[in-house]
Amino acid sequence: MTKDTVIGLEVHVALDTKSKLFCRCSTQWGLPDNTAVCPICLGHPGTLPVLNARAVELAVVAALALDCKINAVSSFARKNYFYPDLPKGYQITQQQQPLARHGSVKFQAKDVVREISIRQVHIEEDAARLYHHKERTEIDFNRAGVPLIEIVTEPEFSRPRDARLFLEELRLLLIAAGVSDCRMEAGNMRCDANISFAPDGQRTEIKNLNSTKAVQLALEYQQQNRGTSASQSFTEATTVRWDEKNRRTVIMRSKSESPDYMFVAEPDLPNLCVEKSMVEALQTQIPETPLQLSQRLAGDYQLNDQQARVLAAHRDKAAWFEKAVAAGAPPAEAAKWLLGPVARHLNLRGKNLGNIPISPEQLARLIKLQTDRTISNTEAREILQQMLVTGHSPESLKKEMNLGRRWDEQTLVKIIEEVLAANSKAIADYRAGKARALDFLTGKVLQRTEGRADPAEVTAMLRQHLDK
Amino acid sequence: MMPTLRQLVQQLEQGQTTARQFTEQLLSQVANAQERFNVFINVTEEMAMATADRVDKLRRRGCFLPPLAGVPVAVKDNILIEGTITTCASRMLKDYVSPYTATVMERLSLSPLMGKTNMDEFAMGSSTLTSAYGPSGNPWDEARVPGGSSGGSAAAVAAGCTPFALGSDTGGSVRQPAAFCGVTGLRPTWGRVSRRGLVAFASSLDQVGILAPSAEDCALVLQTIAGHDSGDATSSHQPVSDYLGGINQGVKGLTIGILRDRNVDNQQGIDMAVDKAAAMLEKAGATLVEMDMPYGKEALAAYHVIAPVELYSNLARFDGIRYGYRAAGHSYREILERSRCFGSEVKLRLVSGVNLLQREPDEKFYAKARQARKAVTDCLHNMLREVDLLLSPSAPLVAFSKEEKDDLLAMYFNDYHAIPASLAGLPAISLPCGLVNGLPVGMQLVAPAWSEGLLLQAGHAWQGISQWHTMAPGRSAQ
Repeated sequence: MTKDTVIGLEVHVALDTKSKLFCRCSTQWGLPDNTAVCPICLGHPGTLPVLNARAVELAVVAALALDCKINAVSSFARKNYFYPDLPKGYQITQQQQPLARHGSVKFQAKDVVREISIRQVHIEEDAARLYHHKERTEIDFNRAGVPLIEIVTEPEFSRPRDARLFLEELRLLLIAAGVSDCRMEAGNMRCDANISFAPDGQRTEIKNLNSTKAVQLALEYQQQNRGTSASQSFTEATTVRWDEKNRRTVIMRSKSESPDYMFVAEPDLPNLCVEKSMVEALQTQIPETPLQLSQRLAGDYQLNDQQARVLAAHRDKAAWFEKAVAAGAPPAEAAKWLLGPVARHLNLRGKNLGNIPISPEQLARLIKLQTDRTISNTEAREILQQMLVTGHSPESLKKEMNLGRRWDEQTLVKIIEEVLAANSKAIADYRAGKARALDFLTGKVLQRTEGRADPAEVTAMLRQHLDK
Repeated sequence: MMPTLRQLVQQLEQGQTTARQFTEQLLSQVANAQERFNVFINVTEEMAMATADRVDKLRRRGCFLPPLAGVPVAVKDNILIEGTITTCASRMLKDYVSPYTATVMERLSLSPLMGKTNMDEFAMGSSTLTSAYGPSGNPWDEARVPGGSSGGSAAAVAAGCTPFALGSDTGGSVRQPAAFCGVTGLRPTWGRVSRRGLVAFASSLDQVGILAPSAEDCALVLQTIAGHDSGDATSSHQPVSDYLGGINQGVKGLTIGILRDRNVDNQQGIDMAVDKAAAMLEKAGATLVEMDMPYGKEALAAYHVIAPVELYSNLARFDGIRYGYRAAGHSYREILERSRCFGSEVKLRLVSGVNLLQREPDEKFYAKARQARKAVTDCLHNMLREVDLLLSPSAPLVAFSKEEKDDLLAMYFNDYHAIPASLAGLPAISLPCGLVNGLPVGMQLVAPAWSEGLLLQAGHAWQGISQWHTMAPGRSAQ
């Protein structure tokens, strides 16, 4: 079924600039309706677009992160059509002569690494937002003129799931490169999907996909419903809308109804010339792709795939992890602690690694105390909790909390004898071959020591006693 | 009798008159001209007096003031000035309050604004007959048109309402009315003056232009308004010349190519007037050379493909939703269709434009027109390598009657001589050079890009040996 499916994606990403593409209005999310507007982005007569240089920079960074060739010269055109969200009656876009072409993105699809070609990356302005009510439609022009890049893939996907995985990788990549915060729910990243089935090749464009999951679901829906008269006909190219609530697609228009955009070169903007020196300078800012990072972490540090992927998805954690290892922590331990107790603490308190009082070096030292058996695992966890709150060093906390007492052998033996005396059934079980009984007894001993004795040591001593 | 700009500036600086006094004088002239010639769409008396008073106050305090401070101006009603209505002579913008001020007017902020002048609707036309606020009359004969589309601005200068005026020139809209009204009209190089705040008609052809009695007056104004504007990405960084500094260099040593075009029959008397002027320039030291203009027809055709195409997208923003006239309607489409209440000439060009864009997937006409434009541009550049300036009539005819029911092509023909320079983006000036049947004739000089100084120098020299620019309607040469 997947052999004849052909899928391509068009992704629109809002660039993380302070102001709009052609005017100084703020791009800040959540401002009151129609307050971040001016004559230019409202399309008043006599206004002229002035190109935002930072938007160009970020677009170049994005194109480089997608491994594209940057065109030294690109240009803008007017895409003409009438719609209430389009103040000038045309959109200024580089669709015809884009900033960059011919890139690629690798992503993990289960156990395989797949590569998708990027056809082009170009800059364009966003339209306003429409709010449809029963009696009227309202227009908020805050979004009109926000800088976007459009990323067009070659139609090389054959599985809906791959489309989703690609988008997830793309998100992380663009976030890491500082291009955008790619929040699909805020509309900062939008995706239209195109699907067709060989050999008839008629294309369906799917719009209104508000999450990467929706992309997969909608494409799967099209796959499952192809050719059924109940849903839509595939006799001609169609545009459909994804209905999130009812989990189906609805026809918007057919090819015969699709508009003629009558592209004209934009006379108010000169050609965009990107200097080689600028490209070279920005190239140095391109970080590893999430996939590259994940592979490197797994390879260099012998982490399992799951750990590597989670770290790669959060650059700050990956950097923190690497610092901890550099400070002497064994990778496996560092990953365990960072992704376990530390991550839980961050989630609970809504913090991030930037605003907690401990450093990677401190965690490394804590881990050392534990692996040296100076303190037990449980004790280490307790110290960590205090570290996260107070920021004090593990050494001083150990002293403060009076931890790391080595239970002297005599006291331990006494406790062991008491426990053994009180648990004859467990002894019998152990003698009968049930290994679990030993764990049970260890637990009982640890209880008596308030968890402060070393479990391994206790187990060894118990065995000694029992095997006598 | 209107002093020259230079004289007026001097009078103001030396205290021989005040901005208030002079502006008040003019306002009575304005009232007169308004009644007879319908020069203005809106007269801005209060604004003018307020600016005049502010300038006088600053001057009394001894503040440094720019040269044109206190010098009144009339502005074509497609240039936005905050505090004024900007109608573009259309019903669409009848009550449109300008939300900002055009860059050119920011640079003239201390010039009292007499009013917004009449024009052809959205700047397309050669007569002001398409204005939604009635046509203007030519001060030389009020039954005749002042030309267009900057007809009101030309008439304002000719009628003595203002020492200078701003217009816009896309396919001759400053030069042709200047010729019809016997005033001097300058179209700068495309990119010399900021277009920010000029309502766009055909963006790659539009340029703000100056109308005034003399070339020297134009030089003074150009000095103030020319120069790069960060708000206009197509405005040039080319340094602004010292236009006044070079203006007295005369025509000695200049080579002028007089353009002969077999494809056009100018109205009787026009060629003679231009030839006479050429002979006088030769006497004054210029070398005149005969040149063939091969692409006049192609230029006209190309213009009437390119302009409507660009117009179509420039007028797409008028949907009544955010500003301008809005009709009632139940859907966007309904509001859109009902609100776009353009006049017939505008509608015609819109239909033409969308047709040209839509008709063929391989863009036959538009692509061909762009090629023709390049050919015309190359031709002019080549000619200007051989000579310093090109000379021709500004228009093929003199002011025609308001009643003349011309067919479309005849009307478009008005711009025949003006269009090539527009297509090539080159600077050009129209200078009064004669009378035919008592109506003004203008001659046009075209210079290489950024050589406005050369135009003004030659124009000033011409006006030093001729009197046509000093004539006013109803008054003989002095």
